[in-house]
Amino acid sequence: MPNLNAIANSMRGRMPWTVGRRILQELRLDRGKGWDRTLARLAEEDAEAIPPLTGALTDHILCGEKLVRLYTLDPERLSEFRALAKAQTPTKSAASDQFPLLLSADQLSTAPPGHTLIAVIHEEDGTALIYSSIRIVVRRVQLDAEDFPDSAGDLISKYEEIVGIKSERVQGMDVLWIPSDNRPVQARIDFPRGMLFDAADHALTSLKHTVQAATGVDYLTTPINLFPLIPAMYANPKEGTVVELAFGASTAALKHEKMRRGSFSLRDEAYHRGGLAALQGQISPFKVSIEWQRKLDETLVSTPELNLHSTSRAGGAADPVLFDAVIRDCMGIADFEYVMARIQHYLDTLG
Amino acid sequence: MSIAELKETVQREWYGVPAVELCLRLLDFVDRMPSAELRMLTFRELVSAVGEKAVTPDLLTALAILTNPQVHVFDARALFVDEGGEETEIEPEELAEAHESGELVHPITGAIIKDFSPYIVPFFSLTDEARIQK
Repeated sequence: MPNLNAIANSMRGRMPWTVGRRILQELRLDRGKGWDRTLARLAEEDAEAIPPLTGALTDHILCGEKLVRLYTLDPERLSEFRALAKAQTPTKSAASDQFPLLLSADQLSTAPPGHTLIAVIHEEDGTALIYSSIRIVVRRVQLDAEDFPDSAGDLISKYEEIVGIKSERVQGMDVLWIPSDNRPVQARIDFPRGMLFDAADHALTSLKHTVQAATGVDYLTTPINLFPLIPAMYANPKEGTVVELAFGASTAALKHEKMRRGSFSLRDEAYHRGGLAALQGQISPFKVSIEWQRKLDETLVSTPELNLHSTSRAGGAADPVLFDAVIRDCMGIADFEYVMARIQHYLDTLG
Repeated sequence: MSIAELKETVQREWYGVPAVELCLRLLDFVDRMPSAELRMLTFRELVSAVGEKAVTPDLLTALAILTNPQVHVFDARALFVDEGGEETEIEPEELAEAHESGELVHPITGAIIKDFSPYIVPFFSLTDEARIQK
């Protein structure tokens, strides 16, 4: 059984702090200010805390900070794919041995490239194949002037901020979810804030090749176009809170609005409504982010967010296409399934 | 309290303080603006609202008075804007605690930031009780 420190370190490696602290609050575990102090406090918890924390970490691997692509398969092919997927067994590796813990920095430096199946989870509503892969993430790191030698003082004093660029090898945990019913197959790619889309797109391609090599058939050939959901979800005033919106208007303007302020929605914002009122025609949204406020108890609210982000160029096409949804800030499976259910609702409605 | 009552309170409790005059101008501004346009007032909007050209010590004093629990027209809030331009709102209690301790937690990485002022956009918003009274 993993120890508390190892689990907490892996949580830190994956979860935004705002999500991690809410999960700890929900589990009624002690939190400090920031991850460092929280890790110190968690180290003093009883072993009873290990199972719920392991569960929270596993849930986050399954659904936390994901870029999601949905694939339609006809029932016969889906059934065939499901049977093949269920028969898959993890490849023995450091990542599979210590799942759900993340690889250490030393292990990352020697981990093989590409995707490796490290765990298979069978649930009543579907099967999850979990793959590990190594990604390079470029981070900006703010440096402290005091860390430089005294001789650099004159040079350093010329700058208000000193920033270093650092390439890091990180472990991606990508998931292929095959439902027990005829809903779409989901490829869920780890997509933490700061990761470039190209890195996620590359991971998705690598995942598809790995699955195809294992099953002998490329089942993931027909991604679902999510673009029609952008105007439809924006247009439904009961659909969560619109926190980001980009659109074109026939006046030739392109607008990008953001408002992440509690439960205030851009749909109702005065400047936005005033702009709409000044137009005879409609706006054409090509990017929307919707947040839902899910009350867990009297003091705890979870705020999963869906990003459907296309571009003005794609939005102006005769038949606009968007294959990727990004789902962020899920505290657990229930949040993720809620967002997926909203997506499915529109897929069903729009036909 | 109505705006008129708030003005009386400010004039009585901070009698003789030069910044009171700016408080009254800010309260007039609050009175004439719709609540929906008082959710995020940065220093730029506040300077413009009172017809000044720059933030002055009197304006800072006036804002301290209007965020005082006795008046409580505004909450002092802040947006955290990270290196990638991602914005996260900081709760007023967290902001106050950060100013007291000199440490703010990065909302995404969970790292402690000691020199956090470059990441922060301070703003003021109308309190719920003031909104109800309008």
